[in-house]
Amino acid sequence: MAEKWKIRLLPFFSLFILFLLDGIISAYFGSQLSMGQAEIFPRLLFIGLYYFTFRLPVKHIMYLSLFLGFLMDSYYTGILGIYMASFTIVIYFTTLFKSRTDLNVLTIGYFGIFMYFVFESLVYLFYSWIGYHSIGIGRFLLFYLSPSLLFNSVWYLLLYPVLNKILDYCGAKPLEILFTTE
Amino acid sequence: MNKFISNKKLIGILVSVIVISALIALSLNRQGNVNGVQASINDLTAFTGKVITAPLNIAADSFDSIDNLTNTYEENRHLKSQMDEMEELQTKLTTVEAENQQLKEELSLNHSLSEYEKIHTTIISRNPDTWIDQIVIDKGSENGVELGMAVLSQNGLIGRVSEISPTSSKVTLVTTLDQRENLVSAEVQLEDDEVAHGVIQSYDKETDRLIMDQITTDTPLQEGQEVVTSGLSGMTPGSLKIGTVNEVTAGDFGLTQKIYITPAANFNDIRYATVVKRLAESGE
Repeated sequence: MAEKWKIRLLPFFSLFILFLLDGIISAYFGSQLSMGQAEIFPRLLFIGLYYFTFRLPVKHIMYLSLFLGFLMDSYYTGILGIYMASFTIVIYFTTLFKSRTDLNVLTIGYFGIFMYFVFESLVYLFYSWIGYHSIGIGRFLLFYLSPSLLFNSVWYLLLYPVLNKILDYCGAKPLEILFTTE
Repeated sequence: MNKFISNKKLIGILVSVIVISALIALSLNRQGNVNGVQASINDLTAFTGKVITAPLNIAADSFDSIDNLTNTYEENRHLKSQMDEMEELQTKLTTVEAENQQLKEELSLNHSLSEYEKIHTTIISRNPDTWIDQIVIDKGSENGVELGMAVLSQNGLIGRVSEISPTSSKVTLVTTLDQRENLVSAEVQLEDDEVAHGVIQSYDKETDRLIMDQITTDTPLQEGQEVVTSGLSGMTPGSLKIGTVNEVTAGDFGLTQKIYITPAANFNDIRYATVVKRLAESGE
């Protein structure tokens, strides 16, 4: 019973902390994240959700992505639907990838970069569609997506051992099992 | 033949698209008023954020104090030289305030456009992406914060309250990309107590300057002149500092003047803010 609640609650609290850290990093390190024309978006929550997708049950992670997307919309922007849709779409495709591909460090890494690109592009397109900005695609790719991708890749390397330990503690399926051919 | 996508999945996708579009449309139309459930969730999240940022603020303040210690001697010398001037200004101000109050009583005026009350707040977090440049503060409707109130930081205007919950609020900064949100009615303070009115319409991210347009005065504007709020729009009081003129150019079609303003506040380093409650009625 306790194990069941551990696997249900601990990932949520971990992701909730990452969700708050995104905002805190933006508030306290604004001058470092905004360099000339370039803007860096901290996406610790995306990193957490992406990695947890490989070790948590599909239903569980889908509900988490929907709820945390709602929280992101409600708390940071006030416009419901954008992050709810973006997170859910990205996590859904990651679960498809997980079930249909041979997993190794390279494929998970490359797919993660691709999914991050999809995620940021979805958010960019949503805001563009509702008229909240008029930034061109070229400018977005060069000054927003590229520096953010670099920044969040470094954070992925830093967070990976911590997230791994948290999931091991709550008894989530180890990643090694996915590499067997049984 | 296998279908590319099953009917069930197709219906799910269509329903999701409709629901997401409806949510976005509803959010855009409600103009800052949130329902009870969302307000409760926002407040709970803000409370948790406040618990985490409290020790960070203490640490940041300590580092600032250490930094300030190294500049104490020079700062002290500079402040001492300004003391005599300040005392003279204080005497003049007291006299002017008394005259002002007397004149108001004679004209039966209640409050002018530049009178206001302050609500001091702390920044809890900031939107990680800058598509909407918003911050979350730790005061809400229970503390007297209302929609549309102006917000200051470091003695400069930074934005307006765009959404309120009972114990937290969202402030949209004037640097946000959405030009509908960062319109500010402002005036440039010229010589001989004259002013030039205009509207702050956008923000130039490359040079970190606000852009004020539609200035119709014939008097040529100069660099270094102060730009303040005019008090003629919404709930923003007058005489709140926005910044100083950095560059003067011709407006569209050469009929008006356009200026670039160096903001008084540093938008990349906002930890504390003051919500300003105008005492005069807005007439809306």
